[in-house]
Amino acid sequence: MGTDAPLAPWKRSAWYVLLSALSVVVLFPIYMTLVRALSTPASYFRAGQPLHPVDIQWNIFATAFSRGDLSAKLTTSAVVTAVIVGAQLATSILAAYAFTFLEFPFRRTLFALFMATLMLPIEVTLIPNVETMRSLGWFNSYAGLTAPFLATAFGTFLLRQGFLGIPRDLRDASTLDGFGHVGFLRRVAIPVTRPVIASFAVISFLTAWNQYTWPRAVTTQSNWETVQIGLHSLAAATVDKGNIALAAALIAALPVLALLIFLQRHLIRGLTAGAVKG
Amino acid sequence: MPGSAPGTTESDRQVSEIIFEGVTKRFGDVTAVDDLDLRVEHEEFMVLLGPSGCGKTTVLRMVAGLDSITSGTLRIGDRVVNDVEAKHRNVSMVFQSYALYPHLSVFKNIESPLIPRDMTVEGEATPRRLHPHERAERVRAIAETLGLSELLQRKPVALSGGQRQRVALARAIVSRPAAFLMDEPLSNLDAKLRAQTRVELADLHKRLATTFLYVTHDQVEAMTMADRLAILDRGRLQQVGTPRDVYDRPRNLFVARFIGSPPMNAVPATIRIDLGEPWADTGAGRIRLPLLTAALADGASVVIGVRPEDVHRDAGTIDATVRAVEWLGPERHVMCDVAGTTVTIREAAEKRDPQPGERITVGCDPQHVHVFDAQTTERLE
Amino acid sequence: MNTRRVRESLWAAALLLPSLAVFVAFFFYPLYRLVVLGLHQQNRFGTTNRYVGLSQFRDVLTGDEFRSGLWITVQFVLLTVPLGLVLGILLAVAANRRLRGIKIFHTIFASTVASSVAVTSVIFLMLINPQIGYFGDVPFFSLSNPHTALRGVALSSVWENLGLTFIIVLAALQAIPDEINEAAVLDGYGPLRKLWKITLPLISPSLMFLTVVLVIFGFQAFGQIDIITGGGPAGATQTVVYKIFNSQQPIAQGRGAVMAVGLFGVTFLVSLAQLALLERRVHYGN
Repeated sequence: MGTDAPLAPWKRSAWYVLLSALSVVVLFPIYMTLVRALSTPASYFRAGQPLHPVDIQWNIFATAFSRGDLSAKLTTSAVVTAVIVGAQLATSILAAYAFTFLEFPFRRTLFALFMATLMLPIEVTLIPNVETMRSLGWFNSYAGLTAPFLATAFGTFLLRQGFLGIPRDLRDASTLDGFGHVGFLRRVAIPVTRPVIASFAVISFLTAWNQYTWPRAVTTQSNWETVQIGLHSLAAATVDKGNIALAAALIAALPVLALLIFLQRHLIRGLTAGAVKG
Repeated sequence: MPGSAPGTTESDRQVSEIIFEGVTKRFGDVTAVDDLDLRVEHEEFMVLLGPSGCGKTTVLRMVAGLDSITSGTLRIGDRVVNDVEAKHRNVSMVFQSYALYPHLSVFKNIESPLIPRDMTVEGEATPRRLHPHERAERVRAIAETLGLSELLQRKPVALSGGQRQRVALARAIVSRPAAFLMDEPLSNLDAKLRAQTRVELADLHKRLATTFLYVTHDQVEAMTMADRLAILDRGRLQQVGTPRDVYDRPRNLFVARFIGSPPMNAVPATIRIDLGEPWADTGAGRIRLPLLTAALADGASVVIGVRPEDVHRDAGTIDATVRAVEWLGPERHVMCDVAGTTVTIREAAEKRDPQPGERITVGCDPQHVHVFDAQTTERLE
Repeated sequence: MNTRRVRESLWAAALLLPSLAVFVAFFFYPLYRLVVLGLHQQNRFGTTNRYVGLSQFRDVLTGDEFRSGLWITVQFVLLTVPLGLVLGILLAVAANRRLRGIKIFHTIFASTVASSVAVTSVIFLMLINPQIGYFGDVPFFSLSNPHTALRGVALSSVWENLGLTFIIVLAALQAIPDEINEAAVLDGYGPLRKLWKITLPLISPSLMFLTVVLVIFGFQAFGQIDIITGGGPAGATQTVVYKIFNSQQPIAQGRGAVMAVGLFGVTFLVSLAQLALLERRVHYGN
């Protein structure tokens, strides 16, 4: 934090003013979204697009739900996210365990190979992967939406860092107590690195829920769209009105917003891992 | 089994010698333990003593099954255990850092070894896994013995150093092993607690009547607690024996100087046979040696070892110059120079202190002289 | 001892297999497949597949389609990264002080990290859309003008990245020991000089990390183009990824694959160059 030196009252106020001004700028798009979502479009235009809501329609969210088929899309997003987070946790924990606690030939090469995948985003490998999905018949399916993301090297990296922090002695004590790998993993490794696992889960959730390019590529039927793709369709269909799509956008952002507010610590820890020393 | 000391039911009267035959451990190019031959007797308190890096912890870890054995044979009881997993060797270990699970309560820490193990149950022929209430019973019994009953629900972070150590002990004892392995368990305690715990551990050993293999670099611990000591230096066994053996008849210069505080004096000298009697000529005077044996040849280079308490002043045959004096209350240490080597004298602090620069003579009883070959540093008899 | 090794290797194989299977199927195999696709040319229906060799690589990588897409992508990166960094630093420096209620400001400044590409794009579409946007008639980033449309899209990305940038820079600032700040104040550094000479150098590793990450995000831009401009007007906002996305039909796959390889190469080289260049200016203290 900055210094704790006493501040002259006018300086203190000046900072509050500056910070508030910056907050206004940052929050402006969201504020306007609320204004536009709640206002009746025709009345809003007639009033000259003011900075306050006009002719508020509280049922806009219900309308967005039905018009954008949001309950189905939210469900799809939820299932896809749950599967991806669950799978990534499982595969990452297992892989990180192997890299941390086991000795085997080519360990370093394999780890480098894992990390290399971080350089290949889905945008680059799009065409062949879509081709694979097409030939497997996995368009418009949960399989297609989740398959490339069932494992991630970022998770392996993060969890390995966590496991490396476990003192060697605890591993030895567990061995002498009579526990093998499974016992040690369950009783010691996972409980002791719970904060890191939580941070990774939060990041994984964030990424999976917010994904756009891949779901866009593998869904052609609207009933299989995730909520993010649904926003695209809805925006395109209702661009002249605007309030429906904006209401839907707010709904789509809610789960992650909740995450930010309640799990801020974990989120920040996950995002800053590797970026900040100390 | 309320009332009886832990670990003494007849079914646990296991044969628990630990036998090393040519055991060697290599880490890549580094040889940590070199051709160790050692036999730890059933119910013995054996201390592995040596400076940092001498391999004593590696030896312990090999017995535990935490490190593999490069070559040689390790037996526990009558079983060769080279390839036996730690879990099946029936030994337990107290770590230097205690290695308590930070996220588990004291109760769960102590209970830990009982979960994956088959234990013998009174009245039943074959060992089996214990039910939770049976485990709880044994945990409580041990906790009681070690004064931990009040602390069972606490987590390690809320315990003092001494309390954590007792939890580590409890965890080691509860599984009724054939042997206890201890890796410098007292080093994290303050001096007062250390002295107290030494007594408690020795007492525990008698009560448990089980083999203790104890590693330390502190020779006071070793001398006070051991039935026998094994001294190691750079991976090689230097000497095995009772504290008395090792103190009175050190096999080489390393052992001679490692045991005893202040360390034994080591003065280079040459053997002179004079009229059939052996003398050691230091260059500043001669001392008579106890007997003449074949090993003592005229002109041989040796190192003379005499313990500080065996050196006396003013009646000696060797010239010395006082360099420094340390007064410690009932005694004092006088450091003086004998032909270029520092010799320490330990004497009662009577009369006046000698002054630096003073010329004195020193000598000792031939019976207290140890002779070591200058090349091999081995003891010459 | 050998059995222990074998046992551990078997365990390792079992534990790594799930991840490895995914990586081989969806990362390594596609990389190989991209090269294969790039060497071939199919017809509209995918019924013929002709080997054309490296000439396709040469044609596409030097051709207008890829080069214009690359140029647009580069412009996008230049529009979003410097501005995004500066704003993020500004927010973090402003919010890094002990005031009552400062945590609220922290949450506000970090909030955009909750917004996905789709959500941000919809928000900004409605904000700068020429027909109904509040700022729809601002010429500087007008979506109907091919010369300025990209700026509109860039604006949405800058806003979207604010949260992430803020979080990372703030964390880096908080990692600076108090004594250093105090020493600077006692030495008589004014706030701006302190920022330039002390604070920024000390957080430079994180800044470098952020720069690399933001540039990579910029090169991968797709969703915001898809929603805000649909690639228009007149293809003025078609980034490389956008073009790749629209090259999925058999007839376009060869060219798309080459562009993907080109994109990978460029991103990789740019990241390396950044690491090399910035590494020298980065100060690893402590």
